[in-house]
Amino acid sequence: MITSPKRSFGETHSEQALGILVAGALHGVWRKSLPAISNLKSPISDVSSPISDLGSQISDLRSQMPEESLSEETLSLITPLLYASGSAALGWWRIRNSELAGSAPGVLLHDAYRRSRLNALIHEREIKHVLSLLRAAGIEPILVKGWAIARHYPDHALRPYGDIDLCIRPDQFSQAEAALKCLETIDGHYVDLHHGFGKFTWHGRPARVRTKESTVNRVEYSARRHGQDAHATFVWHELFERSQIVMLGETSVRVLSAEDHLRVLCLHLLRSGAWRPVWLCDIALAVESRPANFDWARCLGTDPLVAKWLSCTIGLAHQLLGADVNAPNNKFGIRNSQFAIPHWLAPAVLRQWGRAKGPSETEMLLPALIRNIGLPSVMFRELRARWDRPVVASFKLRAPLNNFPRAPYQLADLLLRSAQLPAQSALMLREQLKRFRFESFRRPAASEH
Amino acid sequence: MKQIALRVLPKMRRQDLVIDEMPDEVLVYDLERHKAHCLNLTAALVWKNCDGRTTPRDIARRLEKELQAACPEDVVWLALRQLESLHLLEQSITLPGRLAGIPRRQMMRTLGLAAAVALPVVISIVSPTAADAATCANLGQSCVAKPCCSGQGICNGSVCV
Repeated sequence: MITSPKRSFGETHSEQALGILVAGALHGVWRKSLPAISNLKSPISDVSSPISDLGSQISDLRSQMPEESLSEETLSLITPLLYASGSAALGWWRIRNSELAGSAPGVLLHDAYRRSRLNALIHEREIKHVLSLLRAAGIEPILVKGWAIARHYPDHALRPYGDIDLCIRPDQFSQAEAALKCLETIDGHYVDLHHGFGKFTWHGRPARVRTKESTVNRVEYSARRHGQDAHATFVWHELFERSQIVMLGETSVRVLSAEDHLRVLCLHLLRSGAWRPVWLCDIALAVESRPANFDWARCLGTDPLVAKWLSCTIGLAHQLLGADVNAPNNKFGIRNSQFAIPHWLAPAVLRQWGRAKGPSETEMLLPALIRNIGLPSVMFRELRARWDRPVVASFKLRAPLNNFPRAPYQLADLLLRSAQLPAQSALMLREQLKRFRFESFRRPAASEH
Repeated sequence: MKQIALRVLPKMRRQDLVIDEMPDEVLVYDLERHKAHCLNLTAALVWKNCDGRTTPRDIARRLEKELQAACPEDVVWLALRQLESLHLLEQSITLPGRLAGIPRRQMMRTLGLAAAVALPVVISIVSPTAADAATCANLGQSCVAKPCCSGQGICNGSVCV
C-alpha cells in the first residue's frame, strides 16, 4: 500500500512520484474501453517498445514505481492534483465502475464529473450562440482545442471546457471583436479570439499541401508574403483550405484538419509547460483517433525544430499515458524512433503534474520572495517551482528538444523573466496602494457601526 | 385547506434551465441563478411528471408503475418541496395540512421507514463556470490555476492585473 509518496519515494521525488501516480490513473483513460483498475500498473511499463527509450532516468523512475494498483489512498493523494489541473472528470471516468467510486475521493471526483457534464452542455450552447453571432457578421471562424477535441472523447464531459478558442481570418479580426461586443454584458461566454493562427503556428508553418488549388493560393498570396499580416493571411488560407465541418447538434462547426489540430495541440501543450495532464490526453486521443489517411509529413511540417517538438510531444503521450502511436495506421513513412524523447522531458512533465501549478503561478518571482520571506522552506519550494520549467524555457527560447542539459535555457528564461522585475514591483506597489485606499475608504464606514 | 392542497397541479420549470438526463440521475443547471442541482432517480421522476395536469397523488401512482415499488404520496410531496425551494417548479406549491410545518429531515426519517422507493433527494452542486476551466484568466480573474490570457495583463499575486 502506498502510505505517502513522500515516504515512499523520498522528499525530493515527491512531486515526480505524485506525477507518476497521476499518469498511472489517466493511462488510456480517453479510450472507450478502459483497463480494469486492478490492471493499472506503472505508466512507464512499456519499456520493451522500440519507441520507449526513455533513458536511464526513467528506468530509475520505473524501479521506484509502486507495484500496487490504484488504491483509495493513492486516489486521495492525487484527487487534489486532478482537481487543480482540470482532470477530475477523467479521474472519475477511470474509477466509475470500480469500488473506488464510492470512496471519499471517488465522491469528489463524481461531483467534478457532474459539474463537467453541465459545463459541457453550457459550453456547447455558448459555442452555437457565438458562431451564430459571427456568421451573422459574415465571419467563418475555426474552432480549436476545447470542443474540437472533446468531441472525440467517449463522453464530452471528460475534457474540461473553458474559453472558446476561435481563430479568425486576420483581416476580419476587428470585425469579429465588434460582432461579439454584445457578449461583454452576458455572464459566461469566455471567447478567446485569435488573430489568424498566429499563436498556434508561431514556430514555422505546417507543410504545404501539394495540390493545384493550394499552389494557386500560394501564388495569389506570394506578393504579400512579407510582413506579419501577409504571413498570417497566408497561413490562414492554407489551414482554412484543409479545415473540415463537423456537426454540433444542428450547428455546423469548422475545425482544423486532424493533422493541423494535432500540431496545434502539441504546440499549445509545450507553450503552457505541459502542466495539465488532460492536454496530453488530448494529444493521445488525437493520435489514436486520426483518420486512415492521416499525413504525418503534413502534421510535422518542414521545420526540423518544430517537427522534433511535435514528435517528442507525441512520444511523451505514448510514454506517460500509453497512447498507441501505431494504431490505426502508420503507413506514411514515420519511424517509431522519431518519437523518442529526451531523458529529461518525462520527469520534468511528471514533476509539473505532481505540482499542478500553472505557468502564470510560477511566472513572477517577486511576490514569492516577498510573501514568503519569513518562511525559508516555502520560499525554497516557490523558487524551485519558478526555476523548474524546462519545457516552457525550451519553447520560449526555441531550443531543440534533445538530451542537452536544460539548465542554460532555464537560466536564460529566469533572466528574461527577471527583466520584468521593475514592472512587477510597480504592479505590486500599485496593488498595495489600491488596498490602502480601499481600507482608508472603508474605515469610517466601519466605525459607524 | 386540505382540499386546496389536493388540487395542486405542479408544473416543472423549463425556461433558463440546462438539463442533462443521465441513466440514474438528472443534472440541472439554473442559468438564471447560476446554481447546479443533481436530482436522484425518484426526484427526477417526480419532476418529469410535473406537467401541470397531474396531481401529486397521480404522480405517486405513476412512480409506482415506473419503479415497480410502493410509493406513498408523501414521497412526491417531499420531492415537490425540494424542487420548489430550488426554483425548479413554475409555481409555488401548498403542502397538505398534515405535512405543513414538518421539517424536511423529519419527513425523510418518517418516509424512509415507510417507502419502498429511494427517497427523493436533490443536492446542489457547485456551479460550473467556464472561468473555472478556462485555459486562461481574463482581467480581474484569479490566475492561481491558469495563466492570464494574452493581452489581459499579468498574474500579480493571484489576480490578473
